[in-house]
Amino acid sequence: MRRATEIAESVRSGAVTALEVTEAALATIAARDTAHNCFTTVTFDRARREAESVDAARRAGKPLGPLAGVPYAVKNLFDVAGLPTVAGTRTRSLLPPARDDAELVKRLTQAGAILVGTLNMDAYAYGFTTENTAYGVTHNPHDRKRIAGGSSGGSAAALAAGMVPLSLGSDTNGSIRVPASLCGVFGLKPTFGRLPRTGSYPFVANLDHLGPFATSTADLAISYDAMQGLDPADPACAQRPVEPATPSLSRGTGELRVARLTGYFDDWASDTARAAAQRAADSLGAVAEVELPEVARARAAAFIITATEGGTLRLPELRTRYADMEPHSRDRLVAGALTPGAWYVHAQKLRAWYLAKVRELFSRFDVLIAPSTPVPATEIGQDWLQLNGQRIPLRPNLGLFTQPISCIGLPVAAVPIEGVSPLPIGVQIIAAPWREDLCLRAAAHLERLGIAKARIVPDTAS
Amino acid sequence: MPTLAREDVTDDEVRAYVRAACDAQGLVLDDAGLDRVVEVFARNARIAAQVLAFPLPEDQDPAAILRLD
Repeated sequence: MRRATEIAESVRSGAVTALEVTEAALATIAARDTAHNCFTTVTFDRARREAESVDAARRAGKPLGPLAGVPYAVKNLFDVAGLPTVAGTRTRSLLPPARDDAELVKRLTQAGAILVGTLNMDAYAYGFTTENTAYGVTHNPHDRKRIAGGSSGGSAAALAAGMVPLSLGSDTNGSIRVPASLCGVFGLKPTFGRLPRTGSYPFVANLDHLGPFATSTADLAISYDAMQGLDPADPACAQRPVEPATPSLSRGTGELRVARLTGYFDDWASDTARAAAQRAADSLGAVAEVELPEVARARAAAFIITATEGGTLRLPELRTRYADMEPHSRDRLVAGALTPGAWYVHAQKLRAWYLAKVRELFSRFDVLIAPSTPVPATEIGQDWLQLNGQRIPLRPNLGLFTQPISCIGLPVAAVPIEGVSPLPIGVQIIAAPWREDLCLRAAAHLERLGIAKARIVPDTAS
Repeated sequence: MPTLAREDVTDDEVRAYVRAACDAQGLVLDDAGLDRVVEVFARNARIAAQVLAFPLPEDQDPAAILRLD
């Protein structure tokens, strides 16, 4: 599968039609997804209709969008008109189909992209492994015995398996960055409030972000730019103008002040994860090593906020459908719904205090580097990790390094780092709020150096 | 009565709270489900202990962060 920017250029130039690209993508999905279980629905008819529409526009001499003819798929918590928004659950599959597309799907359609399906995830987006009881496990394309990460596991694995060049996911505590790391692809978790969430099924409204996965920074930036803009229907969506990131990609890192995060991040990283962060930091000319203040407590606060809001949102379902709910998450949802209010309020206060302290760092540094995950992909069904001299539960702790960043809404590019491990592993490039351009600029620099590169499984690369 | 948000909280303490809170919230669990929720809640309580032990400034704004601009 070629990159999105290359496909769009070919469609615009007439070298290939959108329908030809779409048919090729649908055939690839049919051939490969049985092995990986990324897709929960393939939207054959819709994809062909959209492709024919793009081709008709070209024949009529109309201008084509920046993603003309690019096949993409979305995590199955995005509304897609005509499909139930299952959010990884069996219980929601019985609900009426969505009447309209999610706002980001509308914007990608407007940009000429072709929706080819919906993708597997952890139920309710509450998990980091995409071990889904109702829809099956999504396998890591680099080693089918291993997890793809989650909760947007299908979104990352579909790219690593060469089925689509672009996908959408959500990230509440790391659900874009964790699977991007384990599958070896790029991801962007924008600033909280940057991209509208209208028409997506919420997990934790205070922490939910949406964003793209891609196989290059250029694809990440062009899709991100196409999705920006105001949306009065999402109360958290910022009143900011579109601030395109694509023009910044070629600017290099000359004057960027880069620091690597240490302390907590070194303590809990495997040798592989630490080496990835060090390699990225060195290649970006890092000038310092810094520690985030009270980072472990901040993560604890994010944990309490997540449990409380996630559980409370699902109380009606827990009361009536507990037995039918995902066994991996239903007990955590019940426990969260029982959280005393004082714990939640204190966690929110701590989060606000921590944000203020971390923002101070950005007067000294432009970007911060940290591992995305403590380890590369683990085996499906594995329950425990050995890290920092301790035996810890695997499933919650894949988000060790992502939760303390997303809980204060900072933008992050998730970048796969070459040369440190047989299995993929990624780093986070973190910037101040609203500076996605800096994250992507640094990521593009690493890509030009050959330090950052998406891994598409060899037997399916084209 | 001590708070449940303690590193040394016991399953028995948690069980009493979870049973009462489930009743209050209209949640019905069998014994096995109750055991599982007790285990999760006890872990959450230990995590909450880390949060509650941090001395925040008295005037710390409790507002949730919905806007960063």
